[in-house]
Amino acid sequence: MSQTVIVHDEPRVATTTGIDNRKLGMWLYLATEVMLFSALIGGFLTMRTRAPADANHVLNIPITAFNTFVLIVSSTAVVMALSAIEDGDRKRMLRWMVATFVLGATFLGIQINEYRILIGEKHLTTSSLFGSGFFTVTGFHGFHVFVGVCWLGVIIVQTLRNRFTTNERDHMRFEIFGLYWHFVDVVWIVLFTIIYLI
Amino acid sequence: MAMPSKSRAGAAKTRRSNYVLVFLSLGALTALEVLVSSMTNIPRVSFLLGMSFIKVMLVILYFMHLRSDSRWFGLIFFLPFLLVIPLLTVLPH
Repeated sequence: MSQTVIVHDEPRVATTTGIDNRKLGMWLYLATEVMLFSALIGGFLTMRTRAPADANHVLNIPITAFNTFVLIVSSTAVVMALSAIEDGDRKRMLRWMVATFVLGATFLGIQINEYRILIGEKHLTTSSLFGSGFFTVTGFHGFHVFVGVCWLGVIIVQTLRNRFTTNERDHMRFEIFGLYWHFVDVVWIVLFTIIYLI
Repeated sequence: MAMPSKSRAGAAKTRRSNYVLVFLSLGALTALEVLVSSMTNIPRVSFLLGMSFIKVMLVILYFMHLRSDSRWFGLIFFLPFLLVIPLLTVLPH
């Protein structure tokens, strides 16, 4: 049976735009991230055109496809957690949060293992233009996943201590986290195609 | 006026069904991408970029709720692409 938590709504802060400032701030931040990753991807494509066409033959596509799937499942887990918050179901919310955390950590684990194999085969940042671009772009993305996993870890700990509930304020906090996490997913969808498949 | 709890539960169920549908579409498209990447007799790059675009839009519209949220967020998010498109066009050349 699902556990229902009493919702303690906090008064909404009125804004001249009618838009929540925290959410607006996150969208503005994501806009800057679009520019950051576009510059990185642009730089990667520039290097790619100067490197051999089959430079990505060293990459393991099946494992990375699985990792892409892991990130997609984690994004779905985030919206399911958000849905549980909207339903006031704390137990379900926590379950989906933990699932997202585990999936995010799995993604990072697989990426670290990929780096370990590539470095073992002497594919370094200094060994080729492709290597340089590859580690820079995927490294930046991996760092964003790491930040997301840490952020979610804090939310999970707060939930276990009953400092994060299903009230309106925390709903917005989790929605903002969700926007960040989905953006990281979006970036990976693009990187998977550009770096691994093309 | 507050939404009756029955219709609210129905709306929540529909929303969750949509999330599952989007998830299945994303999974299927990823599998299709891997399949297409090994083919040589089709315009591979166009197909792959097209599928990637569809996946990105599914996440943005449904998971990030841009489809139902304020249009301001969409404007803020998509505005940088006006700079990005020329950058990505010019840089590789």
